Amino acid sequence: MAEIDSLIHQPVRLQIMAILVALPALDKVDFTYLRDTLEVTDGNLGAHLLKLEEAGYIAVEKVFVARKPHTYIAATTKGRAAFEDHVVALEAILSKPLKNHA
Amino acid sequence: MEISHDDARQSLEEIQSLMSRTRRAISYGTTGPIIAIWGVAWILGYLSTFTLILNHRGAWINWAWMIFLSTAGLLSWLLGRKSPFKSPIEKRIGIFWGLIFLFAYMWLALMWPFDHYQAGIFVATIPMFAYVVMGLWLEENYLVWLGLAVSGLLVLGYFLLRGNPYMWLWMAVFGGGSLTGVGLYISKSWRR
Repeated sequence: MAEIDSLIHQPVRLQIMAILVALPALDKVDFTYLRDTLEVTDGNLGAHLLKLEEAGYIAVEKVFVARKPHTYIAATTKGRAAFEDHVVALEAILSKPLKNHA
Repeated sequence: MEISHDDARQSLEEIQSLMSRTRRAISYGTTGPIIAIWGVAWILGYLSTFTLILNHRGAWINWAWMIFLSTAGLLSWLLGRKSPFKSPIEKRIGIFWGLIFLFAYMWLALMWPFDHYQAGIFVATIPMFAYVVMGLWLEENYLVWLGLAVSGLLVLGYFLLRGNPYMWLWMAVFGGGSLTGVGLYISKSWRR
């Protein structure tokens, strides 16, 4: 049974993974797109990316384009599977009947 | 880890929203402006053709087209480089466009002789054919419909106005105008 992944469930990391998983496999996205879309600082985004990279959920690639450094991020197969499991777990919570607190 | 019903619903909504926004950005973010740029190049090119023919300065037509098309090509390339998304398929798309024009050039050489109107409609429908193929290949239906619709309008103009310089005006309005309109619409609306 799929379980909630506490690493992914943190709001910023959940958003990062949602964006990366929406990309076709092998595609990657620029760091600045993530930063601007999520409206976070470079440092904040960098810290969350590091956690996801350490878990093997994302791959980070640093390249030079026209002599300027660019960081591209992609979801790994492991990351995509973990995210799908997380979504299944969230859907399972929703499918349960609400408890009556009255 | 305990997650409430509301938290789960909110998270799923956020995931849905971000995923669809990202998919729209991939599909339309760069393509819209590029289509609009080529539309403007077509408008300027066909208007120049029309004006130069009416003023008996046909020798300048190729130069005018060379300027507009190379500018559009350069701007498209720059926009493509600015895209935040990188895909291994980009190289294949570049090769595809190169081959399409190589084949078009070969077909033109094989079909020679032909008149300017035949050459004009042939050259204009080639990129529209490429849009249709790309739309089918990348599963972007709007490109298929755009390619088919613009080709239909161009061919209609050819049969209605062949041999008449006003055919170039038709191509500017219905070919270039359609591309520009659709490109601008996509550029403005994909963020919604």
